[in-house]
Amino acid sequence: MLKNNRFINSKLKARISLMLSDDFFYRLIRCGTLQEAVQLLKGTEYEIVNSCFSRTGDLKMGELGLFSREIEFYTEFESFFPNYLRIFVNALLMKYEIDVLKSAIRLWFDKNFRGRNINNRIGYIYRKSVINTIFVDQVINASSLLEISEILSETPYFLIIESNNDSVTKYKSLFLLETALDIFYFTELSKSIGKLGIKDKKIAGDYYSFVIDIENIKWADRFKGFDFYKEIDPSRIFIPNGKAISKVLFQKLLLAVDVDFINLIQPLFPYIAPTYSGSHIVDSYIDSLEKQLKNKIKRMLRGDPFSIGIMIAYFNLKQDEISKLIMILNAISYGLSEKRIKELL
Amino acid sequence: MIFPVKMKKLTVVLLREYTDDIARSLLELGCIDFITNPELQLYRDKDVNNSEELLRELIERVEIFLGMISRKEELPQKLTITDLQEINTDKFKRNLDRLAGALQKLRDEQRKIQEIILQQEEIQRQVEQLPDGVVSSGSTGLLDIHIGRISAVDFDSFSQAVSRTTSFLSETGNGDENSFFVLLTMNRERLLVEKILKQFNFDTSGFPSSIDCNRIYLIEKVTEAMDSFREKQDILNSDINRAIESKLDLLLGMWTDLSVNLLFIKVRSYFY
Repeated sequence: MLKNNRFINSKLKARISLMLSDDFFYRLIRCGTLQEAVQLLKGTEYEIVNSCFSRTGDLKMGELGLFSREIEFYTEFESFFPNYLRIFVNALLMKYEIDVLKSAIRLWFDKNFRGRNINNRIGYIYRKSVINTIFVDQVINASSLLEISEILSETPYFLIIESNNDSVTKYKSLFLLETALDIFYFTELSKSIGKLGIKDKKIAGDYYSFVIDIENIKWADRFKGFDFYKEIDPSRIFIPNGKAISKVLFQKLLLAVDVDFINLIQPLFPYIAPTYSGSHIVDSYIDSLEKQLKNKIKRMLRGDPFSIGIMIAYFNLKQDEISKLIMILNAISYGLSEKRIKELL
Repeated sequence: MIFPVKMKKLTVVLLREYTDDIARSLLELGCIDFITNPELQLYRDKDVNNSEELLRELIERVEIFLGMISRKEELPQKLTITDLQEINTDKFKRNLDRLAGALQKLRDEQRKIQEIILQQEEIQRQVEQLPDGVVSSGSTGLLDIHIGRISAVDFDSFSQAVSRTTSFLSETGNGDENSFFVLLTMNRERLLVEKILKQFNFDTSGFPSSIDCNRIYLIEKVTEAMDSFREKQDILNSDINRAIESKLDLLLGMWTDLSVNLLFIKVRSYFY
């Protein structure tokens, strides 16, 4: 086991050292036009954006290329993974599959509930199989959500879709359905963490339970924006296996706002000093929690070189790198100034 | 073993009015290795730093354009001080912006074609799933198939109307007064398509018997159409390359001017 981790981690560490530097991103931001920015990616591991853009002139095709590249980061070392790691990585990959499914269902929803024309958006959905086969075209063109659940009958998602049919129709919203898919992802991820060795289980468990806490805090805050939130059983939107946020506390958070909200969670994260000024105090507290998450990544990189921490750090850093790239390229294509892009970062 | 040449550390005091001449001479000689004096950093000319950054930015932009046509290797390996002349960076920037703008227009055309291609790909995926054998009008899977004719004079307007949907239209023949066609649409747009067909008096009778409309035939037709769109995109890409090629001398000249000026400014930046 140690031998495997050692081999994979040394490869991943080498990859991390080759990540795009801050200086590169600075040069990218300075590019006046999208085609100049995209050209700068030639020769990097995101060259696919340049090739897609040169062929089609379409940045969204480049983003689709990046999505497939991101999945490759998880799969390219698959043959070296021992079984317990493969289960863990597959659980992480499920997030991408769920993203694909969500995109397809959103198009179906936009067409059927909002009467929107979706023709120009269909081509940008990833169509290769991630873990299960998702019949994207059939999902988008389905006549009802029940039909979608039938289309997905060979996947673990069909029951989730079926059981959320009523809520989508009643509230004309995908929030509960998408939340259920996210809860499924985190539950499967927690199960896979349970199968890791003692040391890895602790490292991965510590990290992802913090991720779950942040997600629960976000949902407790944002769910209040929906008209139907008082009618819903809060346990439907609570992700289990968090470290600090219990179901009871989650229910209290759903009833609290601003300072009261912060006062409920502050004792759980004493190392974060809340800012009680400004109009978005919960948002800025969430930002601080996310910074802590990034610090955890840094600690993992400095920590045991043979643990699963290196792999978790690698996947997260690559994910951040791609998000940053997409954000900058879109900002340039919308004509945002260098100064404004820097502010957004 | 390689030993460094013995060097002497010099501190030179000179009148400001001679700085440009001195910098030029030093560049020509190319024999000085400048070192920074941290105590004098405060006195450094801030304008010099700003100009340096601007020149670097413009040089990178020129190199990016040359990289697009794989002509970076044509950049001069050696610069001479005789190349040094005053430059108008605003004018250079305007030139580069103008070129970028021209290229963007071509990219926009490519993107519009891409939208059509993506819609055709959706049709193609459905056509590939059709059963073997002769295809007739009706609905199969997610696809609606319409085989028939309309008045020939209306064909262009008809074609324009169906282009608003995800569809594939293939004219299969011309009668004296009629256009025969196969129209493939997605059944999610059935209402809209039926409205268009009604508007143009679509008639399912009289399709030429010489056409064997089957899965293979349709795959060939859709693929043919997509190949032609992709070809148009490739042509636009070649147009982009040509547009940059036509500015090659200008770009190479700009690069030389900018690079020599950058070197000059770098030497000047060691003057406090």
